[in-house]
Amino acid sequence: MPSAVTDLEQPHDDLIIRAAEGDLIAFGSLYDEFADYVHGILRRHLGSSPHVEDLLQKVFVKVLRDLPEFRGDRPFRAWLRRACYFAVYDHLREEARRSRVPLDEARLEKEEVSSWTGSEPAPEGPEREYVRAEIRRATREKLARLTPEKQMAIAMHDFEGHTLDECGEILGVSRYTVRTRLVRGRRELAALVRKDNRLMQLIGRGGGER
Amino acid sequence: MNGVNDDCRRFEHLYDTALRGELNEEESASLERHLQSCPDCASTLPIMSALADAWGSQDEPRLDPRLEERVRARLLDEDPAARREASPGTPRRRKRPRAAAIAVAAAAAVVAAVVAGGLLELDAVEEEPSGRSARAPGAAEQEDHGARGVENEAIPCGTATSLDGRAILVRGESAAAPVLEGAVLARGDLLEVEKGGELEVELSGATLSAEGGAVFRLPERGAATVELRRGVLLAVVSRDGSSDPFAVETPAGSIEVTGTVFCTSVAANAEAYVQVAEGTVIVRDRADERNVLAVEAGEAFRLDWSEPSVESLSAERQEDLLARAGRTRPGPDAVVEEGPTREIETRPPKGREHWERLLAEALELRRARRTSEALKTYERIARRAPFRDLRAEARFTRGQLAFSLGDYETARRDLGDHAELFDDTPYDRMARVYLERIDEIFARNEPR
Repeated sequence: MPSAVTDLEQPHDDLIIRAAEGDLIAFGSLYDEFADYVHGILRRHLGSSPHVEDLLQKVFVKVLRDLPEFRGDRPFRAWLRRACYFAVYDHLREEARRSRVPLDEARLEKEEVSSWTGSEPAPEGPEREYVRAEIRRATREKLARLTPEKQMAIAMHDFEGHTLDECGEILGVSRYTVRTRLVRGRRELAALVRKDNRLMQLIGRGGGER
Repeated sequence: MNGVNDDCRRFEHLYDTALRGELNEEESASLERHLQSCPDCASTLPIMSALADAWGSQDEPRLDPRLEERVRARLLDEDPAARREASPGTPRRRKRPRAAAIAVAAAAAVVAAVVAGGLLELDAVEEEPSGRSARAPGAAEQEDHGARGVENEAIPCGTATSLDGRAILVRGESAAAPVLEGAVLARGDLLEVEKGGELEVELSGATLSAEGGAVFRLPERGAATVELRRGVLLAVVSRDGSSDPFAVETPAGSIEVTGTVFCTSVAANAEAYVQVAEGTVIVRDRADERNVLAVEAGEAFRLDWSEPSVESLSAERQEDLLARAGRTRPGPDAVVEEGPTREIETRPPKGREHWERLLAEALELRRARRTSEALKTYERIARRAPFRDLRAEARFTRGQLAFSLGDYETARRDLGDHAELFDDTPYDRMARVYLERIDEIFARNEPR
């Protein structure tokens, strides 16, 4: 029977159409094809969190459910990426609710004391990669202290490179709201980073070079 | 914390433009100057670059084949039949049919307010079971579409779509009569719901859900204002660019929902209180029209204009409201925005009188419909007043005025190009509301 997914000009057309019609074998092939991609996005946002596995499943469950509505007006990957963002955003909000951290500027005052004295020897191996990995880990940790809204705005716009309009469309708000969240989010994030001596030293050690 | 002074704010707002290399000479020069004297701002770009670089640099960690297989197995065990059903969402607490006040394509605004005020003395109502099965004396008259034998013609304006517990209605000079489900309600009807009960009323463009001993009056002819005297009112206002603003009046102020704005609020104590779970409401002080505040999703505001403050709304409360409004889970609109407690300046320091007088003059010019002079006056204040809050007010009001005149280009410039001026003021949110409306208007008028 005809589905909404017609006239696609990309590989996997066939798989998508069949999966949309309920063909679980086709869906399984789609999963095999794109699990890596989805996993990568989730890992970028969540690091090695144990929730990644859950979210991987959630994303594909959503795909399974929403595939009949996929219109092929954008590449499948982009559609998939949106589903990832929704899942991440949902997850962040759920985490925020669960931890019930009061949403006020006082959060910025709860700063952990940096434990690195600076006198440790430089780590073995390619230093730049180590530094980057450390900055990455610290970034996620600092980012997690912002509200989910600001986290998503910064991650999607500043880190993943989406435009204000794209962010707004996915988050369901206007680009003006995205911009406000970006401004405030950067302000908070930068303030958090500045208070962390170790992180500032890492950044100085070439984390920003390419 | 960074961003407290004007130069830092300017930098924050030019940040993206700077990254794209699109600063003009003047901006470039002033930014340079600022960065040389402000170590915090100077560190922002290197910090954000380092973070962005680290973020994007990881080699995609290989998807652990065992994880991949586990998830695959769980996915393909999914019942195929389950897939085809629409997602059921969380079950609603009350299993009663809901009038289709909320159009599918349009999201809706939800507003509720609680009011302190005098009790309405109503005649005692006879005990009767709720629901359609019982018919009390007077019910027949009620369903007679308003022909109750009163002098004023009863103009129908809505229906009591569902009732839990007891509610009574006073129309004109008549004695109180019980409200039954399905009853047609008229303009100006005064309604009271018993504590613990709940009454749902559907009006054109809005659905009201009254509880907690609510006492409220439906809009008079030609108006779209519900007067809430006491209790809790949850209102769902449909989003429609052409409708007039819908408002709820309380003794402490009016809560306005413009047609294209979503808002949700419920208050639960004896004072007038607004809680917004979705969208934005504009709250005005009835005693002083200069007191205006936009309250956004995730915020609550006690209508006490002597010490106004905006607080955060707990996420559970927000979800609760949305669930009651028919949302099964908060959508993207229902964001919990962070914001510090905000205080509106009520005692002006010395030296501002000149500029405040100018603002008052501008207001007079507006009232006298001398709009171009008003616009010029606002422009002058916005550019020259040494007080940031007055500049912000003037700039915002100018944009608002332009908007009301239909000059959307000017409005967009006034409200959109001065974000750093509005930062951390109530105007920030209000400006966004207008900008979004302008976007919609332009989108609507675009040739297909």
